[in-house]
Amino acid sequence: MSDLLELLVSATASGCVYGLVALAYLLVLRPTGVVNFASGEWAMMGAFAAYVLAGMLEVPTVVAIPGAVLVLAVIGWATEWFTVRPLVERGAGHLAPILALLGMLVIYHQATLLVFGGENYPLDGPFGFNRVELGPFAGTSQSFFIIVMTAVIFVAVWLFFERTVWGKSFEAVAINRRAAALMGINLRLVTALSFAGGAAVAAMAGLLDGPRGSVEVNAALPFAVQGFSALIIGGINRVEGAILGGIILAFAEDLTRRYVPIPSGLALGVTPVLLIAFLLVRPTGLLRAKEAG
Amino acid sequence: MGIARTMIGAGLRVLGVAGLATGVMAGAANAADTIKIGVITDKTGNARFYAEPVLQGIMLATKIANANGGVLGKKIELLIEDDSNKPDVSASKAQKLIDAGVVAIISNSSSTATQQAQNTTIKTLIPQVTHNGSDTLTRKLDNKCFFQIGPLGSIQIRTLMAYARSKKLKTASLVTDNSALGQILAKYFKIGLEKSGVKVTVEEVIPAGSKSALPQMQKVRAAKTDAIFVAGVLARENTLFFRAYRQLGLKQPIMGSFNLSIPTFLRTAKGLMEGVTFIDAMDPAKPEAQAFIAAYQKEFGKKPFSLPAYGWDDMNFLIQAIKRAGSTDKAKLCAALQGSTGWAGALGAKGTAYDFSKGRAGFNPQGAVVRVIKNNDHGPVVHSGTK
Amino acid sequence: MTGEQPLIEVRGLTKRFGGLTAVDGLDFEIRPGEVLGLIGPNGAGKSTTFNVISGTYQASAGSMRLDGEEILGLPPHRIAARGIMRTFQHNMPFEGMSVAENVMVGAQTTVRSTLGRILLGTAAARAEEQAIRARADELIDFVGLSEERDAEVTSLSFGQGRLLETARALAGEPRIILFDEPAAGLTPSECDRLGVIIRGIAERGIAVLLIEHDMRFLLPLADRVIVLNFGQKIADGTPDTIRTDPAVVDAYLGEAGGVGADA
Repeated sequence: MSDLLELLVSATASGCVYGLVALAYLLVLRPTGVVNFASGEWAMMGAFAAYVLAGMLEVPTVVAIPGAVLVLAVIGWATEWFTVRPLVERGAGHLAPILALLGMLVIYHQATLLVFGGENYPLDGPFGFNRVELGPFAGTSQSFFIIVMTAVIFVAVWLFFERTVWGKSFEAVAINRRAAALMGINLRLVTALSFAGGAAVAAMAGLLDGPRGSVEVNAALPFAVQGFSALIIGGINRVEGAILGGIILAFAEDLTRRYVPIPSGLALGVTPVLLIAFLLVRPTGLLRAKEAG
Repeated sequence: MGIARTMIGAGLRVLGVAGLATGVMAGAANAADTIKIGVITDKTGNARFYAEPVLQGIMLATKIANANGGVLGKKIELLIEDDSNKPDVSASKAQKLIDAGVVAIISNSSSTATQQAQNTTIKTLIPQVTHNGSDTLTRKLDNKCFFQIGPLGSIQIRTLMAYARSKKLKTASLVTDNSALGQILAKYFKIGLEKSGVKVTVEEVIPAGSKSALPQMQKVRAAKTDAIFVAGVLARENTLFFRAYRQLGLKQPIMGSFNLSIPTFLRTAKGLMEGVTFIDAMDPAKPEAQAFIAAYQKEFGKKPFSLPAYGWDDMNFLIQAIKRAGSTDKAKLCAALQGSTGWAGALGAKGTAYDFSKGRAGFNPQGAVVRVIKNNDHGPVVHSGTK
Repeated sequence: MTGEQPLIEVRGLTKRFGGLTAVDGLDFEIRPGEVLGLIGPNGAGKSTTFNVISGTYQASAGSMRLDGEEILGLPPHRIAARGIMRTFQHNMPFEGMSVAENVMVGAQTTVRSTLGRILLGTAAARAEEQAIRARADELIDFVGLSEERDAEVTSLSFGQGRLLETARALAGEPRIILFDEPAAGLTPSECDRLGVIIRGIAERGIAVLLIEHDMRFLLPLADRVIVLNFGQKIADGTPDTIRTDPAVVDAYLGEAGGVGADA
């Protein structure tokens, strides 16, 4: 039993990381319709930004975390400005921005590789990895830190979309761009902010995960796949879907690895099986579009 | 400040290598008066993290030989080519070096690239030396002038298994990752363990990109085996392994492949690896290794890990043969290399020497060692040999 | 009312599509609180005029001044932010949102708090959100959708949707609202209700520009009417003068057998 509870804490933390990457996809996808597979690169770059600030410049964590998030927000903003906007404004088709972002994925990847190489770098968590017990739940302080930070982010994003006129405006752009523009909503600004927000959230995923294993360029692809899977499971319509999908995915993976008596190598199939199942049975994800009232 | 230190460190490394390069290239003014040795290395591909430190060792050995008057009265000139660890590129770079008139080639990227380059070197029987450990490198082609310096993969496994036997293990857990090399190593580990009478009761895979190794390690904990063998080669996933091991309060001994000898783990799994044993090829207590360590320390101001020693031995192996051949003629050099016996390098356990009289893989089968991590550093040898 | 300075002054407004001149040198102005009707046969250029004014189309030539400032050519969201709001001929609600949320989106241009303050949830930002919420409620009451405040917009009838569009446009604190055939598809009682609402809007000092085919709806409502034909203005006057203008009767109203004739 204590094994299970300890595993659940760790799996929840992993699910939070997946959920944050899913949220990064979602923030860009909703108002623009663009599936941005570079979200995984953003997460990886966020971890590197945190490593540069905390590991190399020895900036205190309380500054390094928002600093790294800010760096990625600027990168996200610039990405929209230089690659997506020119295409959209010249009336390119719907596929063009997706392809342009895949191109950016390669550029991000190779650029980071050029600067940092394929090495693994250590990143310290703010509270280390001490064992923390909260009632029956035991886990590392980093796991609890990941869970708390993710909860704060999701509540903040949820409040933004649910409770503010600006948030509603983002939603309006997602529903009908033309009408939104004629209501006075600045599509350019909303799109740029979506990219900045997506990159910032992805950076959080990367820098929260970094202390567990290490920081490396190769981490980008797994982030992209796990986040995308979480997005498909949770559904692309609602913010809550991202975290729900992330936690379901992590629980399925970790519980299968722990308790299902199949060879460990086969447990690798959990993610693709779950992904295919959702695409076949419930392609809109677990959470449907919100019903008002 | 940390960044300053890092930047200066990086700068020094660059300068150090550049300094070495100047020393190595100094004799290039009159090309006819130099002995040209080609190096095919990986500067831009995925093997560069191994290749770059090894290249440091090659250049250091060259610089020291040149400072001591060179070989046969001539300075050694290194011609360095980057193959990005691509087999086809490696083969064409070998041709380029042969055309440039090198007397021998050192292959310093992966085994696959080295194998491909042999297709070129075998045509002219130009001597080719590598430290790569793949057992098949000297078997696929009957290339009389191809020599392997480093410990073969099979020797590494047998050494680790001998260590396991000495610990009287009955059961073991086997943990690896889903990389190709990690899977192959796990397979050999399992075969070796079962041959040694150790029952592998848990086999776990930590897939690349995992966020935690807790589920796998809980199963390992539940199995209560006598030891845990690590065959994984991915730095991130191995770090997750060590973290879960500590988090779950496991106490069993950890035995790992040569991969744990890369210094990265001392940073990413800092403080988590105390007491971990791993396969290595360098015994810091061996006098020849100490000579290398001293030379390295003088040049770079810090203690080397084992990787540069591979390059150091590659080059010194060639130098001693050229001296004995008294000529750079490739046939004579090839014969001298074949006859290299009793020559001790920086690699290999204390008291062991290379022996190329019986085969072209000359690393002494009793030369691989098991070392232990101590004070977050590669500590002393706790076992050597396959017995 | 007519003594006031014009709110919007349009001069020489021209829009060409290739060889076709859809709007040809149109001049007009509209004053605060004035209801101005824009009529003309199909293809006369009414909708094009709307689209150019709201920034959806770029004008080929001309000028449009709001309080003396040139605003022609600004992107749609800028024009909307200046207080020029529109409704659509076919309702365009934000589906999936409630009536109240739709109206709040209309108020987006009035948000003064910076995004940073909103994200931080400062007291001032929260107070502003509250104020917008309250105003949205007030506007929903004004158009008579109180019962449907929290309903999802796709559950509304067509007529209710039109009222929602009106409330949403009002939420942006417009100085002028463009109505594109607001009576189309409405029942007679809904038409009456909309007429009352439009008068109420004008009484708030907001200018109203109306495209409308239904003369029984338009003529009692409008202070002034402009008649377009082939992109050009052929008449401009009170409903009474328009009704009897021979050029208008000839070009447009004649078809229907005379102004005010039973359709």
